[in-house]
Amino acid sequence: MKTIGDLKRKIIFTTLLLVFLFLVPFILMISLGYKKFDDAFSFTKTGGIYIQSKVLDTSVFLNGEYFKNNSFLTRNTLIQKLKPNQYHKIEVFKDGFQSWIKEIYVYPGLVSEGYVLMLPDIIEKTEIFPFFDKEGNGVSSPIVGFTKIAKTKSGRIIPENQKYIDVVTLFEGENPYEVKVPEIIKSTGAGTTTDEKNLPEHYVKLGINDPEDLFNLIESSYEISWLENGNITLNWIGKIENIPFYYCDGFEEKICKEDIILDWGDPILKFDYLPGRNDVWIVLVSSGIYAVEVDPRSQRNIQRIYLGENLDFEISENGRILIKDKGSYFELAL
Amino acid sequence: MNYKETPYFHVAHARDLRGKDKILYRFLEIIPGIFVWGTFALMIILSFYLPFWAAIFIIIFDLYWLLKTVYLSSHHFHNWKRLKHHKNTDWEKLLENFKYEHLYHLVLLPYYKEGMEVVEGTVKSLAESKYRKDRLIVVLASEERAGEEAQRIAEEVKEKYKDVFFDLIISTHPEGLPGEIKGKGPNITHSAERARIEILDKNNIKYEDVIVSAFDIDTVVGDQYFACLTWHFMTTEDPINASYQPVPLYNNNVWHAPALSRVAAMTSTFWQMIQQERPEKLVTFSSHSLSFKSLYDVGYWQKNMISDDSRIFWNIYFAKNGNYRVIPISYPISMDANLAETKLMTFKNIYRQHLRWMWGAAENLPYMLFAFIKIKTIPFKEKLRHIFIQGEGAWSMATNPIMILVLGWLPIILGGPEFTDTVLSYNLPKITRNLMTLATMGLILSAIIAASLLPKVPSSVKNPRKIKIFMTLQWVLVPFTIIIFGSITAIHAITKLMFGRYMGEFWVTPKFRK
Repeated sequence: MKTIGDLKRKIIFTTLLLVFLFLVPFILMISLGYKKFDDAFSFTKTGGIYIQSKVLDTSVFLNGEYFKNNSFLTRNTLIQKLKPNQYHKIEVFKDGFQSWIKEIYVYPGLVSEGYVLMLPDIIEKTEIFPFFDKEGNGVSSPIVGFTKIAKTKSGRIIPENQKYIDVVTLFEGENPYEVKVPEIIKSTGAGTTTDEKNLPEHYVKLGINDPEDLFNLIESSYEISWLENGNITLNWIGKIENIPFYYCDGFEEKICKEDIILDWGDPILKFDYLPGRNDVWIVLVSSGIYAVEVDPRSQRNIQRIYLGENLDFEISENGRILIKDKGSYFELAL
Repeated sequence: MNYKETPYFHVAHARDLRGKDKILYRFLEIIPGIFVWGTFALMIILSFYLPFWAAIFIIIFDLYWLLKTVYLSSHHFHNWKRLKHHKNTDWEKLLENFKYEHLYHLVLLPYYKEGMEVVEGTVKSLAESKYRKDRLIVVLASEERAGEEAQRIAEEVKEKYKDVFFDLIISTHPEGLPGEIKGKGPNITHSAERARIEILDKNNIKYEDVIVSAFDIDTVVGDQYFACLTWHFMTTEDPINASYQPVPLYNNNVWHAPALSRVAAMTSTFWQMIQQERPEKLVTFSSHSLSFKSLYDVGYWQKNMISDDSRIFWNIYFAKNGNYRVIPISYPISMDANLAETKLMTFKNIYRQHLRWMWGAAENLPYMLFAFIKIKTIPFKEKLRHIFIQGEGAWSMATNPIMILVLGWLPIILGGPEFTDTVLSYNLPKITRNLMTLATMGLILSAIIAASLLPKVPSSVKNPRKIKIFMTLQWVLVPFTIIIFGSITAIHAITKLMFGRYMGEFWVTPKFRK
């Protein structure tokens, strides 16, 4: 039996070469997002939307039509071949969760991003009590004959639940029971003492002479935010090429602005970042505590965390949201 | 002047030359490294500064790779059919039409410290060959430096088989001869010369009537190997100006070797099978056969370098001004897959064996380029063809798997947000994955072919069903083996050559059988 033979090899080679020459432009056009729409004569350079999500098994809808469900392996959703230069409505639903709706502008050849914010409809809360009963359950007052009562020098009863002391200390800013508690670093408030000589460049650029004057200042390597006249002001101070998607918007051309302002209507009393997310704020307003997207494109998704009046919240060291409601303290399962 | 009479005919490396020749040869040693590292540097630079074009290149390259896989698979498939056909052909019967009694087969069996089981196994397979034994001459080529045990094995085997063949002699290669490396080349050359003096000349056997088979000591031939070889020798035009290449299978211990070793060995077999269908690209590899006349004319194998098996092709090719080629005989011979006492040792041995092979491919490149510069009589087109085949072969082995499996992600990592926000950036990994998934369909063919080439399960295998399942699943290791034992060893060898860190000693693959 002879080798495959020159002629047969040439035929195979030529066939594959032709396949190659045919497929190259075809695959490149697909790769670049070109698509032929029925209402257009030529190929259109489409765009896409990339939806990130931490919540599994959600239903994603595109312009009112079901698109797909996400799963453990495909947690994020890429929607491609979308008509460019227009808004596309993305809705994400899941039973038991607050829905996420966003209109995202699609640019030719580019993929716009969105980061789903979906909090449970009912967020479980656990009250943190100062004392325990015989079964180990939390109680508000010491049980006579069971609780070993200790008092401060001023005569105040010291709670036996150390966690309660820690939480109170976090809210009060100091330990009211005069017992040693671990040092807790608060995530809000001006943490930086800065003299004028060493004022960082980004403050100078923003016209801020003394950062200590800023209320509820939160600063990271890339962003600073604070409360001003009841609104949150956010500024990007990192490299412009690394600016996150939510700073960028615009018709036909994507324009990135380095500042974002959240005007709630009612004055925002306090804010912080939702643990694990640098694009979601927790805001305290007179009617309750809410999670709100930093992303200002189309409408902001606002989701309730805890409703009520005269509330306060803190973020614990381990990233849990703690609520103070009428003298009681709660930890949220978020 | 014939090239074989020049001082650079048996050059191993640049250090063997002087003056301008040394500078030129050294430059040629650096060239493969420049191409390989230049490719990686270009990929990184392109991904950083022009990520769009880097991504376009990667997609086109992936498609090229897919179609190349289809092209090579068609050759592989055809050779599989040819191999089966040749294995089942009655070559003895075909030879009945020829007068071939004048032909002798000289079998050189160089060995070092391999045990009795390995040495005797090979001689036994020769003795069991259907070919007439009175035309087989066997040389047990031992090494003095291997010590008394190697001599004892040789004597014992000789005593047992001395009357089976036309002749069986022991040649002991002396230790520490000047100008020689510690390796197979000096030993096999010494044994060929001993056979010439002690057997061929004494019996007035013409050199052109002798076909030399230079076998690794673990080479077990099928019972019709010599008949098949003789038939090809008889039917080839100008048979003295050709080497004859069988297909090396690594079946001797395949049922005991770990999956990694099996995959690496079978990948090597498959590559040889593909090359058998592309004879213009074929260069002698491992165990092979050739005319004693051609061998004698060039002074046998080089004694100062590692890759004697492939270098002998180039030696004769240049000595004959390009009038030399390799005939693919598509007949299987069986050798040992890498197997050591532990899996880690096996892994190390596979790496070292592949490094030696890749070193061979690398060190032949400057030799070939240098000779093409010096020899004016070989047509330029022929030179270009060989340069492209050998150069592209070494370059693609070193770079392509890494480009496809690793560097394909570079534009996304280095391209910056201006690129990572594009549709192309999102599509790049998706299209690469899809094209490569299609390319791995070739693995199904590989698994089928590999299964068909396996020998019967020996009784010493405890759980054959389990091993058969593993043998089906083992192909998922291909991306790993192709990168570690293909690309990394090739880069290692080419880089060593680039920096003039020549391999000075032939690393003998240990033969270990359970």
